[in-house]
Amino acid sequence: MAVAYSEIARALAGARRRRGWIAAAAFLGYGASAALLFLLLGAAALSLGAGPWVRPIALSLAVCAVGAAAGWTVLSVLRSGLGEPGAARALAAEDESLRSDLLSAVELERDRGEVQRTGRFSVALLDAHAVRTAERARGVDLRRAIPARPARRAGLALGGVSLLHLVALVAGGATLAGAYGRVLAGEPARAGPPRAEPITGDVQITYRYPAYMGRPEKKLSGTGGEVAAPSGTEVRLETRSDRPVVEAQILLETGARTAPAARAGGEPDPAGQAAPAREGPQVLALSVANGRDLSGGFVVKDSGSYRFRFTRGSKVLALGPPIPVAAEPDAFPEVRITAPAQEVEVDARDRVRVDWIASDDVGLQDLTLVLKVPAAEEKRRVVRSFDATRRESGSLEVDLAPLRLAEGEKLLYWLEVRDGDAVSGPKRAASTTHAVKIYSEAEHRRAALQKAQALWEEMVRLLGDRLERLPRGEKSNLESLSVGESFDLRGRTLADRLRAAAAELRRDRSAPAELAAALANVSGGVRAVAERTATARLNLGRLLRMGRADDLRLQRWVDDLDAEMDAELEKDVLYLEKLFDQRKAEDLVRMARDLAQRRRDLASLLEKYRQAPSDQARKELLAEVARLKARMQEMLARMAELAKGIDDEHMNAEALAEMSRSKDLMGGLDRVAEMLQKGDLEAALRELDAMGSLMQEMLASLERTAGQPGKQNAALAKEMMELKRQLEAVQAEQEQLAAETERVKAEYRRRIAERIQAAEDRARHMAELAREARERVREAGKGVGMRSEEAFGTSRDRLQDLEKALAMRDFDAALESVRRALPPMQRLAIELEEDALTAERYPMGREPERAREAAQKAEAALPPARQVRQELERLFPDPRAVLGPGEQARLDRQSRRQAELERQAGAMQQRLQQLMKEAPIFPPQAPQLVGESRGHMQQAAEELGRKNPQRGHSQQRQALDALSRFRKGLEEMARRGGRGGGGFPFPFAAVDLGGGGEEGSMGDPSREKVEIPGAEAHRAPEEFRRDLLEAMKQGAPEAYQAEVKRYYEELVR
Amino acid sequence: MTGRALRLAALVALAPALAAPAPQAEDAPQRYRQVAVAMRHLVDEEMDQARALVEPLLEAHPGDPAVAMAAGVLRLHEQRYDEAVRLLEASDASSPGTPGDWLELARKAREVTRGYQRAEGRHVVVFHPKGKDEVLVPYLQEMLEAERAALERAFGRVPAGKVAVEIVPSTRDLARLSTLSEEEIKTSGTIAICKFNKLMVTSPKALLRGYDWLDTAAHEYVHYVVTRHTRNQTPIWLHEGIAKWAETLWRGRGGESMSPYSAALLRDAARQGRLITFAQMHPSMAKLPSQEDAALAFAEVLAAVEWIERRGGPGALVKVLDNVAEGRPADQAVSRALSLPFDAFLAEWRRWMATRPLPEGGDRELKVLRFKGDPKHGGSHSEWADIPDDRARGFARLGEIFRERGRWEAARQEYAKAVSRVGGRSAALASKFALASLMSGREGEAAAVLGEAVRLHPGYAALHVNMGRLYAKKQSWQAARDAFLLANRTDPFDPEIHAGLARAYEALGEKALAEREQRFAGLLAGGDER
Repeated sequence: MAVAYSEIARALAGARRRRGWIAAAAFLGYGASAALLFLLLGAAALSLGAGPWVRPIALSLAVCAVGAAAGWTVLSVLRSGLGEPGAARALAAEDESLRSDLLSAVELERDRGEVQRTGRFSVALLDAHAVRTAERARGVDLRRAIPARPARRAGLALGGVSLLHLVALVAGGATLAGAYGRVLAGEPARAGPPRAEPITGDVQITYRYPAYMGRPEKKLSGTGGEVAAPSGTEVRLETRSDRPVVEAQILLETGARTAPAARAGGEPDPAGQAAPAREGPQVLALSVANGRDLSGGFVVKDSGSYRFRFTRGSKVLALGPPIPVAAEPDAFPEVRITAPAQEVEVDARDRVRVDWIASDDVGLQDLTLVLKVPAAEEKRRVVRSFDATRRESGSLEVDLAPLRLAEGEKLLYWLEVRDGDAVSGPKRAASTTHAVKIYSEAEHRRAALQKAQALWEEMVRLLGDRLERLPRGEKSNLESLSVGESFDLRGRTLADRLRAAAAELRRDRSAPAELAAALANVSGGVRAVAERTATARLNLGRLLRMGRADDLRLQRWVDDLDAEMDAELEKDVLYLEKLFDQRKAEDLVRMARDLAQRRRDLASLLEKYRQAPSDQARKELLAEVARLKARMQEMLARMAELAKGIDDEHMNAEALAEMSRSKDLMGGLDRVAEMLQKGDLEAALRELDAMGSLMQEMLASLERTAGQPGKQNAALAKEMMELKRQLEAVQAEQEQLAAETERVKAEYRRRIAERIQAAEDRARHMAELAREARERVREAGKGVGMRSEEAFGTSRDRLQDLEKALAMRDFDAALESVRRALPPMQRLAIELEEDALTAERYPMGREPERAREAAQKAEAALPPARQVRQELERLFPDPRAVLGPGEQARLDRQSRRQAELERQAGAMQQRLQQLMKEAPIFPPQAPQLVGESRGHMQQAAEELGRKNPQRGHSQQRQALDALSRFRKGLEEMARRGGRGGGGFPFPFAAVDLGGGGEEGSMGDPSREKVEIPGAEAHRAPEEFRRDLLEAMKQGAPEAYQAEVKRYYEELVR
Repeated sequence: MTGRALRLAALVALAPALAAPAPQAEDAPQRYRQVAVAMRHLVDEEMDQARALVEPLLEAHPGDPAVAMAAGVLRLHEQRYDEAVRLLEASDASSPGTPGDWLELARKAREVTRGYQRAEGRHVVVFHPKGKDEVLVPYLQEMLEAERAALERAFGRVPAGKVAVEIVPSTRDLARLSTLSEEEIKTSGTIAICKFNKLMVTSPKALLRGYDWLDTAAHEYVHYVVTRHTRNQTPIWLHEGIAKWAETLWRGRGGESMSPYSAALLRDAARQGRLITFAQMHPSMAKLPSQEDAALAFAEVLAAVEWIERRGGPGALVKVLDNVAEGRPADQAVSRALSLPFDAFLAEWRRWMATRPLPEGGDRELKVLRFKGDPKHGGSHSEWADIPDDRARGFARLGEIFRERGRWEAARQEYAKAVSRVGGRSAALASKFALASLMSGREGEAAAVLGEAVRLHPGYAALHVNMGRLYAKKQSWQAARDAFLLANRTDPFDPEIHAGLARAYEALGEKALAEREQRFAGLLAGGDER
């Protein structure tokens, strides 16, 4: 029975195997066919020029095809060929009963044991069924039951694809085959150059440089053959081959290169650099000696390489490795201007020194200076030739005079340098462009004027705002007060700005001095009123806050001051406007003069050209005409602009009429240019002459009228001149009077000479007293508070003066010093006494003991000082006791004359104040100066009345000093105004006064006090004397002491 | 140029033509006599008589140089310049040394008037340059019609037909159209001329501040009428006196043009014996050496005519003219009309000049004509130089500074300070002050200032403009219109005047006039032709 079952199992296993084999064959057939087809298609695409991307696609598709076939096979096997049921279905696909039997036989066999154990079924029947089924199974033909058709079809497909391959490869030839190969194996690896081995020994290289470089021949032995040399260098190679040779060559492979173009700045132009184009190797024969010694050479042109090669006929026997050739480039030369700076401002007739440095890697050839005058062509001049030097520096001078540059014009210049490159041609490089600007006083003046005008506009704004917004004649309240305060602040700020602008203008050498002076005066005037107004308003504010708004007196005072400020601003605005106009008018004249000068230059050029005509000269002439025209246009435009802004009080109608004539000048120039173009020189000259007459008339008229002031200004200027004359008269009279007093004084001194001589013995005692006084004052200083500082300082200084004077035996000065020292000493004593009492009463603040001690010391300083004064006064007896009646009568007369002079000075001061109300031509401190002089005159009159010629004369000299300072200012003003008092009333500069005003800090040396000339003139100023005494105390070498003493005495006499 | 001089010139001019070979010898002497007579008529501006002679001759003898000469001159007088030039060229009258030089005159006239537009009225034809000068036309026509009617009433008759008026853009062109030089024109202030059967009037735009162009045109029209009335026999002093006296008839009574300045000048000159003699006035007032002399001369002759009127009563003037027309010399004509020996007349006239009451209001100073484009006549600042007080001038300048910056209140205060020092003496200052007051909202102050200033300076256009502005602000349209019309009498090229007039007319319901003025305003504001 077991046999039957095993036969069934064998039959089923056979069915399974067959089906598997068929499925595998089909997979192989279809998968391979598809894969091959994709590969072929990929190859075809590659052969048709597709990119290498085809290969991965083709390969991917082929792999996919194979994968898909495999999957499909497995699936079909799993579906129909595995397990007994599947095998039974495959074996008995067409015999259903057999299939059922087979299946039941298999299942019954699986359950036979259980059937046998349970006896559920008949085992025999089962076995019988198995035997019958086995028998039937044996009769089944497997080849028929499971046909091999799929395998066959797959084989056919594979065959077809193979055939297609065959056909395609035959048709596509090597290309398709190659492409097929590339699909299968990828891109073939490129074959590397054949490895070349050295075939020569060490190389001896001889460099022969281009002649222009001036470099000696250079020989290098034992090299590997590497060449590095400038282009144009001849290279000679000598070496020995590693084998006997008959023919040897050099294969030179270098890039062709065009010479790069030069550009300014000394750098090669990248745009001009051509891309290297490779050429085939150049073959150069080598000489062969002794079978192995090789020699030959080449000229370096570009970088690249060379090889040695041994040949026989056309056959290459050996090829050496490439040896580099480096052509060293010839760099562009360089030139730099090291001085002056990029742009400088100079005068038109200056010579400008230009420092330069030039360099080149090989050698310089020459240096050219290029000048570019406005509206003209560039002018080139070789200024230096070089002997192939590589670096050079130097200086050259540019003479501006022949270029006839006008004010404000710019000359551009630069240097160009060339190297001596004879191989690729000289290369040129240029320095950066520098400029020389012709100093234009007019431009500077214009700038100054603009600055001043900006401030003027601010003044106008302030005045306008005040007129429109400042409440007047109304009862003040805190609100209106605040408006007023803001205006006071604006006034002071404006004054500060004006003062700063004046200081700035003063530092500018081109800025009109009178502009600075005027601004300073205006500043002083505005500030003075603004401060007074601010103080008054402050007081008014206090009253208002205290609830006393009914104080009309203060209210009126503030209103008056506001009106005063308005008047001050009005006066300043009008005067400054006129001053600006005056300046502008003068600028017009200057411009016209410049224009006339340029026309003359042109005429002279034209004359020269007539004598020696040439194309070049004609070109230059036309360029000059063009320049003149451009200049003229600019000037006319400026003149028109200036004239527009000029109040015709200054630029009157006649001058404007002349200006309109200037328009004809442009037409004249056009005609000159036209004649020149035509070559009609005579006509051009005639035209130029006509222009000359026109210009002359224009200039004359402008000169005549530009300086003519308006009626008001003329009157003002006249008044100022009158004041000056008055001053001169007073001064002359004062001089004469002082001289007369001096004679009386000399007589007095002569008479007391003996007495002074005798006082020498007392001098030491007096000096001790003075020292004692000073010492006590110094000790008192320890208790000095803020209140007594001034008295303490003055006392101390004057006591020091006293000591110095006594040391010098200058009793006159000593008496003066002690007299001046005593009042502050007394003040000091009183103040310290008060302080002591306060401290004792209210001991919280200061130490009472210390204050008391200080007061005692100050008090104690007084007796010795008084004693010195008494002794000195005894030395100088009352002049009335010394001088005779005649001299005393003279002193009386002089006193009266002095008083009269003081009255005259008073009238002068009044006139001055009146003038100051009309225009800010005087600084605010001017009346003080006259006042100071008057004070001295008054004192002089008093002293003379007291018959004291010494003190009288001293006061007279001080009065003269103040007058002289004032006069100096007036003279300066007259000098600027010109025309004998009929000119413009230029301002009187504050700096000339030296009166200790705020402007005094401007550092202008002209503000120093005027020295009154003449021997025995008067005593030196106190400060000066003190300095000298101080210096004298410093001592001198013994041998010189007498001389030094005498020198100092002379100085202070 | 006097009639006698012109006659002489015409005859001398005719000489070459008369000397030329006659094409038809048989009737030539007769023809040339006719030509000579025609030339005399032309010089005397007796157009009808001249035309009656020349036209038939020209028809009969078109190729005769002498006839062509007369016909050319006739055409020149008819403002047919192209024909005049053609005929005068045919006459060969331009040969060197020919006095008068009609051909040159005709050529210049043709050149100057090329492109001119023609505006024809009832009795007036105005020729004017294209453009802004159009604004003058209606006023000119209206005024001339009024003046014509007034003269007809005063003299009994006026010429029939239409009077031609040519407006010239500059004194240079006026010189080219006339026989005066430009220098003479500017020196004497001559601004219009009546000659060659037409009135030549310089456009007010040629002057910096315009001028009383309507009175001036009326003045020239009186010359035109008197010339025809007396067959050009009137001597210059009488001619100018009558013209001066009658130039205001179109807007009022005669003799109103005597300004306080002229009257004062006249009185001083009469008292000091500095009068300009009648002989010095010959041949033309334009030949006098200065505008001051011309002003004095005009005042003298005006006073003479005034005295004739006062002495002889109404109609005396007509009698004088009739006597002159009858061929009597002027002294006899005056003597007969007044029944008074001429010397006595002269003595009375001198006394009248010395005692004549000064008119109230009006210009106190000579109005010097300031020509545009002539730098010698100064710029905008020149007017300030007229303010005599230094400080006032300073304040005025400050006012200007603020005005230029639009600071009206500040400007007003500064102008006020100036006015407080010099009063209304300066029209420019008063005008600026009024404007500043107006702009800063002080209309009452502006009105007061303007009222006073207008009384003192009735011919100052800016004052009237400001007055117009003030009235317009108050919507007093009638008063505004009158103010703007007064301004227009001097400075018709100010667009604001016409814009103001347009508003006033609009408000008054005068639609057509409002439109016209609006158009003028646009025309004037359109470009800077001035």
